[in-house]
Amino acid sequence: MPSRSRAHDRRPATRRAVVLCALALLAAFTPVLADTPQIAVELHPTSVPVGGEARLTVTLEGFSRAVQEPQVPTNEGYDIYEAGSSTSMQWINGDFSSSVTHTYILAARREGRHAVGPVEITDQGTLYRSDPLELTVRAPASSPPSGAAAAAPAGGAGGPHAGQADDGGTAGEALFARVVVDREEAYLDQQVTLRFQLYQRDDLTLLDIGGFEPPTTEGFWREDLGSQRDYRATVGGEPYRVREIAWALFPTRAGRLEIGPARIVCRVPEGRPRSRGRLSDFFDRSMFDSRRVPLSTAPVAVEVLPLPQAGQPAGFTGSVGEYALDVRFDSEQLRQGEPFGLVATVRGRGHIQTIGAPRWPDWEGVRVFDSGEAVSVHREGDRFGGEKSFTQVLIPNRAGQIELGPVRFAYFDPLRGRYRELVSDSLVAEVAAGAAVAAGGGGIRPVGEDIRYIHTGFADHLEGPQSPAPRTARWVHLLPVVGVGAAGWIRLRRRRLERDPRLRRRQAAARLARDRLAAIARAAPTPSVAGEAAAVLEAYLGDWLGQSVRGWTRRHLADRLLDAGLPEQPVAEVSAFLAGVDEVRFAGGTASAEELCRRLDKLLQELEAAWRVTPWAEELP
Amino acid sequence: MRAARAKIIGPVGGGLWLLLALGLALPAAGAQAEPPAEIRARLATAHAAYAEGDYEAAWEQYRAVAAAGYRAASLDYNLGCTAHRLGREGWAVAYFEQARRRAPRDPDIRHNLAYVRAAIGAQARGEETAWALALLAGLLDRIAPADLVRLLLALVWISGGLLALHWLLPRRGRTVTRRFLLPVALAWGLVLGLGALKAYHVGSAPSGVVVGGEAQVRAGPLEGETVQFVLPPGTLVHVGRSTGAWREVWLSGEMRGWVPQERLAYLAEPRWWPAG
Repeated sequence: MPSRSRAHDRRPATRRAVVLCALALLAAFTPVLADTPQIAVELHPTSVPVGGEARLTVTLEGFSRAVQEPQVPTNEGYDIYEAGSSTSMQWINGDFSSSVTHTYILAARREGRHAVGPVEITDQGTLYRSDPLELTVRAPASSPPSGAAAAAPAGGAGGPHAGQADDGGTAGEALFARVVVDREEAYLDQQVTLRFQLYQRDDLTLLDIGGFEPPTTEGFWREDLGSQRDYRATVGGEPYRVREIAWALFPTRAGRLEIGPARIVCRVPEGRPRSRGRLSDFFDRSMFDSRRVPLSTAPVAVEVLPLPQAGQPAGFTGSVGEYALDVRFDSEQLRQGEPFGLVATVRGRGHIQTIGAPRWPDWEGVRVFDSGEAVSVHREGDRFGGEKSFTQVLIPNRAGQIELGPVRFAYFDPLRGRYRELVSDSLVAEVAAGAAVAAGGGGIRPVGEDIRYIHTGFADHLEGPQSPAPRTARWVHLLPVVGVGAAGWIRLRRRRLERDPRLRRRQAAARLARDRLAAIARAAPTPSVAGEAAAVLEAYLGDWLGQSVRGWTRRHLADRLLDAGLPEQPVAEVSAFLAGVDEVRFAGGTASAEELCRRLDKLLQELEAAWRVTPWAEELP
Repeated sequence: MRAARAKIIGPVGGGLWLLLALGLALPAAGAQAEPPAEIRARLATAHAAYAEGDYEAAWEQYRAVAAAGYRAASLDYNLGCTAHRLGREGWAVAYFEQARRRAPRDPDIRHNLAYVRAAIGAQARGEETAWALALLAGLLDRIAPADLVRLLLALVWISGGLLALHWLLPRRGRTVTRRFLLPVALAWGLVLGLGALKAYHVGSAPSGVVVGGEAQVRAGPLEGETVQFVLPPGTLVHVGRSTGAWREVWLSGEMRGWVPQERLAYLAEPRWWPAG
């Protein structure tokens, strides 16, 4: 049973694998099936004088990697030279495509109409053939060819550097300049490659080049195509060194546009070269042996065609070239209420700076903010291009799946002469709930359909611009701190008195004495008052000295008080007071009770003041 | 013994209640001077204009009161309502947020702020995902700094009085006051802890709001700098350095840049000292 169960499970899995493999193979071959191999052949210019050059461009698209090199048949009317090849790879809407461009230079040798091609390609055993083109080779002109200026250098017409045109025209000139364009007819904003070429025959020595004035290009947007390039070419059977500067021109208006002349000044040796060798040549020629040769090119015209109205797709913004479109989100995790970027990148060949924005989908479920664009330019050989990114910042209004539809970019393909529209896949995004919502009740949600009404009764609760009252009130809150400090001080004092009974007695001595004295004063005057007053004083002094003084002689008492640190004056006052009391008690003195109490009160005050200067005072809490 | 204790608890408890009342009442002891008649008249005019639907006039009058230096959560709230009626959603969020910081538990303010933010699709506040953090954030969100200072002052009075009584009372009285010492110490810890968290909460809160339409956030303080992203009105941002008429803003560590300062409304830091 278990084995049957496994077999039963395996069958659908195998079927699924087969289906998946078939789908994968189908997907893998789909681009190949969809893109049949194509050969595009261009010839510019199609008419040249004898000795002139034409450029043959063979572009192969959709061929396998094993494709052989194109076979271009030879013709007795021109020579063919290979001028290199370039490969271009593109991703368009996820599909990969590549093209290979082979360039050939056709050097016209014989007047007449000569067939170019057909170009043949063999790929995986299949022969592909292009349509044949035709090159018209005109009779050589008496002057340098269109756009060319020639000069007979030193030696004059009879010299060895004289422009002896074996094939006529430019072919025999030792030094000449010209401007050429790769197409005499172009669409609006289609690249026209303009080249300034300075031809120097091999047997001519060029001492200096300067004063270069590039051609005027009114009506074109001009972009540099890099620095000067040097190469060799054959013109009329003669080998030349060519210095070339190129620009990419983009017509900005339709009609016949003229490229103005370019100027350059060269310096060539004066006189006949001698055959004593290079070293002797170097010493023989001085700067005074040279001659200034100004060269100027003839103007060149380009016929600029307007973009066709027919077939123009919706959303076309005037972009011309060959482009691919890539669309992506700049974040993998999208959250409700949080911004993220949608970036559409258009890359390819053409005037990339001026291409317009793609057509965005209908925004639903998101808020959109245009966040600008960025351009990156690059050059691929003589072709101008790059990439331009358009960014939109989107903020999802809700969580869940959001489907935005595709992004579209329409452009005009000048090589094929038709409009194309690139369409991205539909943009589908899964949006997570906002952080607060996801937390579960932590967020704030609207609970009504409108805002609540304004508040009206708050005039009395306004905080004024100047409110000193609360600031002064803040000091009130220091009272608890002060209270705690005071309580602490009281507590410390209490604890000290509790620990030291003698100190406590001293502390209370004056108060007790005054209480007793007040009681005596309130009592009726009797002869015993004097004795009571003496007892009050003795009790007070006993508290201070820490022992009873009752029974002490006045002399002994005075000595002890002096020993305790009391000054002589209060001690004498004590002795005098006790003597006065004895006089009243035992000798019939006449002092009244009131007077005794007053004297004793004064004496106590003096003693209190006097005690404060004794060493004991420091012990007082 | 019980009678003696009751004899002591009575005065001690009464004293503590008195101190608590003093602590809570005294912060507001310096009563505010009443606003002048002109301010009252402006407020009345603004209320009437709002009621009649003349929101522009109400906006002008409320702004005049605010410009005179008068502050109140309700004034900010009314300005937020008026800004919303005028379609100035950035300003509405700014004033409602300002009002919420002054009176965090006011239900009207919280409702209107949530409503306006939801209406413009702004991100909901609160990044915390752990429930404990969310709970703490919610608690801190509903406590105004002035509330914490009120609690602190009440504790100063209670604990000061309690300590004074504890030291001044005789021994048998201290057994009563000793009972209150631990709860008061715990209250101190709670209030100080909450105060520290609230200080961090206030310090890390956004200090500006985008107003007056979308704000292009550029890589540098120049008009020609690259636009890095665009902020919709009502977005709460942190505001940093300034250069000329530009201010640096950021949402998070990565999303930062410069915007013209006229595109920002600044949120005042909440007052810590209780108002009268």
